[in-house]
Amino acid sequence: MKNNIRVERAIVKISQQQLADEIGVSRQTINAIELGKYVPSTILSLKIARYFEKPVEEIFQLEEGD
Amino acid sequence: MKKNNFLLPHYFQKIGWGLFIFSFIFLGVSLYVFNKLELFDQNYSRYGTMIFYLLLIFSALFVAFAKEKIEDELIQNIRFTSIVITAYISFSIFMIVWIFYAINHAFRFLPMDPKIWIYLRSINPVTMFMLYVVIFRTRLFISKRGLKNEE
Repeated sequence: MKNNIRVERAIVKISQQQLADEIGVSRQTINAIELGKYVPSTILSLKIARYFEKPVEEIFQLEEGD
Repeated sequence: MKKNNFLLPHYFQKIGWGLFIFSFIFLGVSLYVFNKLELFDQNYSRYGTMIFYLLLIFSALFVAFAKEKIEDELIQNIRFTSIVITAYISFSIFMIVWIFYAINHAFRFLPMDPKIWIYLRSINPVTMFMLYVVIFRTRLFISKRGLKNEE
């Protein structure tokens, strides 16, 4: 699964730490998701999507082989 | 949607580390000073050693199963995989010790000092906690270290 959290973050100009605090997770989690090392749960991806005020599919997309 | 994750509150971690250092020092003291010098009655020294050993086990339990400051799903994922790794390693150690014991029992290539075997066999449940703490902390440290390169 790929995501464009990094791009979305750049648009609203917030750091990983700020996003993590806003959603209530650790900075490692945001970092791991951005690097594609960790696939977030549905709850977390919905929270991230809600924060950026976009539908989940615009931030997270399935990849070939998922 | 909040699930109970059966973990202890975060402050148990501090209590655990304090208790760990305390009981570790006093276990050493009671093992090597009290027992050797025979300051007290041997039985009292043995009880002391037992109590500090028990405290050490509890402190390892507290440290191992206290929540992190932010206990999110990634941390829980690291926790879970660490438990699996710990289980494999300690199971391997356990099996190796027992197989070695059995072979030695049959062929007697090493002296059968019962003390060594009692130590080797009783070490397992406690070392499992300690091993888990080491593995979990290391993996947590690695995941934090990766942050410095970003931004």
